[in-house]
Amino acid sequence: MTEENLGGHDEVVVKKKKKKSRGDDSEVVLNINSIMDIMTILLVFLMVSITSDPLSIQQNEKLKLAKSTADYPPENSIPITVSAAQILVDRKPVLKVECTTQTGQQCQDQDYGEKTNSYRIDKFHKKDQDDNQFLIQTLFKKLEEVVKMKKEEDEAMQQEFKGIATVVVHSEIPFRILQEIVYTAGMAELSSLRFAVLKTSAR
Amino acid sequence: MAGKRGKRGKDAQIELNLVPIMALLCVLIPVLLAAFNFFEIKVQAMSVPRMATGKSKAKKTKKQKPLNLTLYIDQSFIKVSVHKENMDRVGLSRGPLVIPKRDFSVGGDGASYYGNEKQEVNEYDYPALHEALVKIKKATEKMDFKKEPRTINITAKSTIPWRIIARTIDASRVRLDKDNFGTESNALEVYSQAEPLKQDRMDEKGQPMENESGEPIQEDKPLFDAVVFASAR
Repeated sequence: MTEENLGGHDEVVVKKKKKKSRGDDSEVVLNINSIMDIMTILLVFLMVSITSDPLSIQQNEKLKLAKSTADYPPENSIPITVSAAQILVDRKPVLKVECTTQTGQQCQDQDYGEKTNSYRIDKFHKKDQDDNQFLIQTLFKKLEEVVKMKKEEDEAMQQEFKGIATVVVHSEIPFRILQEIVYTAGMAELSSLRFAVLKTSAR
Repeated sequence: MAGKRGKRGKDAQIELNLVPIMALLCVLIPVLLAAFNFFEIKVQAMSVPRMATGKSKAKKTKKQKPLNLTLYIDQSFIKVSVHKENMDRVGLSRGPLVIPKRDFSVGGDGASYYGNEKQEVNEYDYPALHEALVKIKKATEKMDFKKEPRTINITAKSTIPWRIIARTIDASRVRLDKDNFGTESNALEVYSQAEPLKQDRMDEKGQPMENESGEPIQEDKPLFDAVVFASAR
């Protein structure tokens, strides 16, 4: 006989019996309302934080930001990411960064954390396929496309095109590649650059 | 029977089954936590150098030459230079100032750039660089520039990594509460934890800006904060 089949009087009797024997074998029902509240608040907080971050950078061995005391907030602009393995524009891979270890071997996944690695852009991607050139042709073409789209967007929204790009650079990327990125971005009308850094209190 | 059923319909409390929602939240929260950045990301503004071809057509006058402050970062030193006609006036009469790397004892404090572990490092002399830049800044205050010079050109040897350049920019961006960090081995640690000087933020008309409660808005006192990535071909 289950509790549902009992009449109204019998139900009361069973409840009384249950009350008496609660200390021995009563079922403890977990109240999940409070934990639901906590989780809902946490969920909303995380979703707001993630959607309000214009860069949403995930750091790993191939992309570690340099530390700085700079205190300017990132703004919505064209993102150029230079990791230890590749260059991305608007989160889409454009070209590979050549990484070689101290012994001259091509970097494997486990080598990317080493500070002794050297990085360069293959001359195949540069203007006239000349290693001395600063213009990275492959990157330039992609940036031109993105800038054109951004200009059309700004025009439709009756805004002025500002030519700002946010450069997210791996901390070990050498000055030579930075020069090439800056030069190429400048040629693609992105003359104002913001370099992403990890905020620290000690300089 | 019908009456009993009707009564039951009125009194029965329907408890919402929250278990599937809980299951969904338990999946969503770890995914979002993995995507969440627990560190603060900021940006350092930088400009592309303007290029000019040929000689300037402007008439040569005896006007104040631009400061043209340039830092060159090499493997073992940082070189500070200004326009040759301003060298004497900023105290660089012997030529560009070369600040070599030196040994420092660092770390041993949670707030340190180098972490908790005490160690000896051979590092660029950022404290001396900051001191030199403050001296140049003070000298420019006595010179007749139309606008306060805040531009600094930064160039480096092609192999110098971005983290060194970012740290050099840090040394030149804001003025710190100390102008001298001494020659002790802990100078880098003292410099590293120095606080920036503050000043009132001014609006376009040169009036101090105030927040909603009428208090003046403070900002870091700039040193040379307009960074230009120069290329040395």
